Amino acid sequence: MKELNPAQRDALAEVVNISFGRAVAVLARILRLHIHMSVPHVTMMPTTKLVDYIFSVLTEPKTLTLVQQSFKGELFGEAVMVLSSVSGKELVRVMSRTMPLPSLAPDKLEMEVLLEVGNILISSCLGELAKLVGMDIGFDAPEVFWHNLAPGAVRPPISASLSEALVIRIATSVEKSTIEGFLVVMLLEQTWQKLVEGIDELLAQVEPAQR
Amino acid sequence: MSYPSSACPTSPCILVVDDSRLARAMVRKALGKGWRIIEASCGPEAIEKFQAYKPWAVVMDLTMPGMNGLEAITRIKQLEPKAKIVVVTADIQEGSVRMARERGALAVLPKPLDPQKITSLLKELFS
Repeated sequence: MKELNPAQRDALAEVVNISFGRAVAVLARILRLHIHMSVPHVTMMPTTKLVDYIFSVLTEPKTLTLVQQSFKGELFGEAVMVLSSVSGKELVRVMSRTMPLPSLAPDKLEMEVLLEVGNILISSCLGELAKLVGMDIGFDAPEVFWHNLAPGAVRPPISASLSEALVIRIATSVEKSTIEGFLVVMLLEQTWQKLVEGIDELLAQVEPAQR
Repeated sequence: MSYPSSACPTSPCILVVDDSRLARAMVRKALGKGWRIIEASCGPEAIEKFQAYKPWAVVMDLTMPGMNGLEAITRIKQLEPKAKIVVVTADIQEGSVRMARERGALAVLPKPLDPQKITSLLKELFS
């Protein structure tokens, strides 16, 4: 696992906080809802430990849907929105009250909604994060990477080159529904190094002595 | 003790409340010289320091663990209804901005902070 000093950890958490806030605002405007925003909990871990960590932290019945989106440019890797199926269904129920949704079978509709929400959350959050550390990135189309992933089931394949994961735990509420999930950013080794350099530059601009 | 404190009349005291050290440093840098900056990293510490220093204005984050910024604003306003509070937040939803204003925030500025906006706002309030 990559070690960050306390100032770098604090700065990374603040950059994620700002980026996530921007993504939540975009999502709230589209959904025409207020989303209660709590402090995003940020951790770093090797991608090999990712799935076990996510299952160990979730409080709801533990079946997951993963929406994945690749990003490239000065930062390169894969971002994944992870939502428990209970939260996914809640999101569809809440959205159906505020906007017209296509007439599809429930399972198909849930996937469509999660694709769209994943796309907004990932591109807004990572786009802002890259901007804050002075970098440009572009995105591929999102795809449902895994649906109804259960503990003990075959794990999603993660490329060995994506060694490190930035894990943002999301526990928020929309109206009276609790939405629980994660935004995971998996980075190539050299990309991780670039991100740390970007964080260091940000710190140097603000308070050189913090480094 | 009167509000705001007259202990340091030539450099007005600003209380900056944010759980992130980087965010507090950004506000400190944006404000530059001419202000006496006091920092707090959470809501309870903000209330304690507000009572101790009677700052001329408070720059407050909304999203903090434990007591969030909205609760802290309410508590400070109960202590001192004339308190000047400016919110600087990543939560830029219309509903959050409205709630902060309803609790008594004079203005809500988005993160990342625009240094010119906060300095001109505080100078305007000060004049």
